[in-house]
Amino acid sequence: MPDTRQVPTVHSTDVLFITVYARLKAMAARQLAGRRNATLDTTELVHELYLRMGQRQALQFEHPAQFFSYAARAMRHLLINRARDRLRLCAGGQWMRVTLDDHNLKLALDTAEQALALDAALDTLEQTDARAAQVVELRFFAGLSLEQVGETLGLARRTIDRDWRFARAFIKARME
Amino acid sequence: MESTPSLRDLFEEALTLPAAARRRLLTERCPDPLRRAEVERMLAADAIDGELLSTGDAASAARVIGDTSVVEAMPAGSHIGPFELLEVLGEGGSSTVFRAFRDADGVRQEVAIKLLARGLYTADAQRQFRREREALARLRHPGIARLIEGGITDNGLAYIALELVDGLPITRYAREHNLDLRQRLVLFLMVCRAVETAHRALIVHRDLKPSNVLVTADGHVKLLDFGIAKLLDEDVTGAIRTQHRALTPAYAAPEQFAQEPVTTATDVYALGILLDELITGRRRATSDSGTPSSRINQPSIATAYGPAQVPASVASIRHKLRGDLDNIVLMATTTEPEHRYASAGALAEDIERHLDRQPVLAHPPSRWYRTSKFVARHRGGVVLTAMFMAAILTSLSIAVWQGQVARHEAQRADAIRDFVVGLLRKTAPDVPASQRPDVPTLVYTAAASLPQELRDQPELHAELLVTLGNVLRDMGDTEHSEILLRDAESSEAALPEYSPVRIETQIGLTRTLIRRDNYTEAAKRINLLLAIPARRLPADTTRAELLKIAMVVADGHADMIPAVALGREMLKAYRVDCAAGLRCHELSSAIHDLASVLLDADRIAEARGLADEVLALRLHDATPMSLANAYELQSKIALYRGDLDVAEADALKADALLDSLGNSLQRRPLEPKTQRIDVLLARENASDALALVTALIAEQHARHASRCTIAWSEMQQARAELLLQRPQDASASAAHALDDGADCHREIIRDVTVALAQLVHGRALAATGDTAGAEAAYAKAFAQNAHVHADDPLSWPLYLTESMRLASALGHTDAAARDAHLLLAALDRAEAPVTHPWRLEAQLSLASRSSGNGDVAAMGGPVFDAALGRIRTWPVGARLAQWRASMHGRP
Repeated sequence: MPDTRQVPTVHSTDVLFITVYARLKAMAARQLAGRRNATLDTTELVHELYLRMGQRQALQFEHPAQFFSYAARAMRHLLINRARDRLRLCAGGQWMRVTLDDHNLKLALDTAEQALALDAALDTLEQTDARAAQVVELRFFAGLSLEQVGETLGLARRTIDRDWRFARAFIKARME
Repeated sequence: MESTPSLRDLFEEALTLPAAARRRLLTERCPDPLRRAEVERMLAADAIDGELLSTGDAASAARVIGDTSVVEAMPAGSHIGPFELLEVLGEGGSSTVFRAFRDADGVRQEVAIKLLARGLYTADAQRQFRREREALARLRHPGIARLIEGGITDNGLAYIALELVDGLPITRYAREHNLDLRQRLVLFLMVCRAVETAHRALIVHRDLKPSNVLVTADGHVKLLDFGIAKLLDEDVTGAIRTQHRALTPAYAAPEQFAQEPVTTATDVYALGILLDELITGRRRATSDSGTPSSRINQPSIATAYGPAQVPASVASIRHKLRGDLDNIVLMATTTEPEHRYASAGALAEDIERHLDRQPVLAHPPSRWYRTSKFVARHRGGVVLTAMFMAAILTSLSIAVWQGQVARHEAQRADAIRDFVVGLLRKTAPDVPASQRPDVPTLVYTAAASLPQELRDQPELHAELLVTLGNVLRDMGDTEHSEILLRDAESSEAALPEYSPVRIETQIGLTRTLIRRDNYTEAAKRINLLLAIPARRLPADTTRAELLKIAMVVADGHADMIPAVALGREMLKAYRVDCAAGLRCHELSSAIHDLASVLLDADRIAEARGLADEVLALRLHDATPMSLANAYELQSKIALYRGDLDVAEADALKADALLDSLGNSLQRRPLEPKTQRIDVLLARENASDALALVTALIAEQHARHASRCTIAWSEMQQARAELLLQRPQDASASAAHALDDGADCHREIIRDVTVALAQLVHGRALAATGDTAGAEAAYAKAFAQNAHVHADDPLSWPLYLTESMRLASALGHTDAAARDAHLLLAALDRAEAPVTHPWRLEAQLSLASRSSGNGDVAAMGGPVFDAALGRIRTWPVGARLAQWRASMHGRP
């Protein structure tokens, strides 16, 4: 972990993260509300957020990598929270029944379980190879292309490809 | 020495090679079969295209999972409890507030409903929530918005209905009414007095800020959300890994950021920030440590006091702030909680002194500079102490509220406060970290040296001992729990026979004795309790509860017939109560407990019916914890019935539900982990099982779990190692299991753990070529054969399977065949499907025996093929297919 002390202590990092997360969530909700069956377009969201936040003095990031890693983290939390909520509410009486039919509910539950498994595998990967885990976060959650991941992290494309291949196999093997 | 290559090295090196060379590389470079299996799985995964999730990228997955946001699911007109929703008043990360109403006897009552979005649950969620809620409901003060009621919705979400307050945030009210400095201070005093009332009841607000401090049109202060932040505390505002707590950064005290315990001093800090903002018109930045008088300027005064006051008053206000008010704000907002005002009341008194032009207590920093330096030097000790305090205060304050004798309440609160202060003295910051006692030890030593004045009040003294004894038991320190409860018992001799505290003591002691496996004494005590006439029982003790304890005691004694009888009587009592609207929330756990006993008693069909009822009930009204219990029970029954897909899915659900609880004060139960391992092993997914069981054993050791419980895990570890063809390791693990299993004679599951450990040990020895050792183990296991079925009917098929395997390995073909027949019969009785791997294994075992007589065709049937085909993707399927192929290949 990089030392964040010069960026006045943990508090502001927390606040920064929460801000990014809250904005992303609000934007996602709006994007979904606008079009009934709309897809949640991660890439679009993250880029929109970047454009907006870049102008704000209050939330200056050291460099793009920091921003994208927050955004990816936020997206990951968004997905995992949804998954947890869904599993927790799989119980939920009429609530679920009005929003989802049986087939969709099963798909939602399966996906939620998979997402939690992915999250757990990613946690394990973080212990083994933190950079590979970061590549996954940026690629999968922030929707960056591998090219962009390389640019963001300041690493050669070849290195990123290798990280991704290793990470993907690692995670898939654990999710079986 | 060549170092072990990393996982990544192995994987990347293997990628460059063709398949055959890969195997060679792995065999040479990677001696650890577990890791080898992992690399192999990675290579297989690498060869297959596809996204990480079958639904595609994160965004598609999020869409498929769907939004479970409360607002979307709760449109106007929907109901929460007895209330109909009108509109959303606000939505935060951890809760949503609605305006709602109900009609009670023709009167329309409007309320604010706060629906807690998630994570309010601590380990014993529902019970805890109710206690908190009751405590809050008792908090009556005109300056605090009243809690009207609370409950759990059909969806398992907790809500609280609060008095709906029509008012303005205090800062805005002061501005709009052009209040001068003195009027502001008087208004602020009202806030302090309300907070002080709550602090006296040991309730901390935790999230004081202008939007929670409203002033009504007639000038009355109303605090919102008192104590509610605590209910949200488990929540993380989405940021699970940052462990962020419900707080508002601008008003949160440093200890809240540092994840340290929250005390009344936390509210004092927030009050200081609020006071600062109220008198200067500017919210203080976190990093700002300047005095209020140094921070005001024309714009801030214009914001706070209205343009009319500017510019003449900047100097005048600055003059008024300088000195006392500066010092008061600084003292309230000191970083170290122990240097702030001790309470909101103390802060109020200082402001009153200032208004009365008397000297204030707050001093310029230099006066307490030295002490604060000392604290800074011993920060670790202070933090640790504060954590003890929070843990203990939480347990104790709950216990205080639970107490039914109202007149004792204040006295008891004082006693507890003194007790906590005593604890703090014992953890002097100078004690090195390694010598600091853990919480149970601390509680125990403090309890053992309660002050004399408390001993002179036997009832209060006993109550405190009982409370602490129960706390210790729940923390897992049953030994000291027993000592304290026995002390309580002996100090009660002078009290009337049926006094509530004596009965509480007996119940607490019986529960502790059960946890200590002393069933004989527990049985005596529970029988005495059951003999007490119902009308003599304290108001919150029911006969049903006593029957439940009696059932557990009988179950522990393996007296299954009385256990089932008591259990049925108990359930009947709960059902009668619930029909009358009493304690319905305890019904599902009563059913659950009886179902578990019925499983022990081999009444599986009846147990299954009840387990389904539990799940159905909990799907409608449950916490994640109790729902996880229900799923675990389902998984157990499914495993017994051979429905391995369901068993695995339910075990995973139970585990995931517990995950969703995050960290909490109490420990997360490990049973779902054990259950997952049992299922994984039934499917012979040995590598996952081994990883899980190794972690589980470490955790069980860390928690000082009972040796018999650990023995079961070690036995499962040995089975996993056998499957991975590590007989030496398996033999060692099984030997550990036998060693720890020596403790099992006192426990509910006793013979089966030992018998299974013997069998697995035998199999491991046989695999290493130690036939004599294996024979001896087999003989010992065989001797226990008769007990196993009575002991644990659910494990009977597993026992037969292992016995059959060991008998085959030793060449005892007749014995193996007998086990195979028994196993098939047991599986039939359990209605296990034709694809059950043990069934196929038994059939193969019988066939391979007859094939020795020349009858190879027995296994060629299409039914067997189809069955095998359905489990071919499982590790066990591959093994059985290989076995079958080898039989056909034989001349």
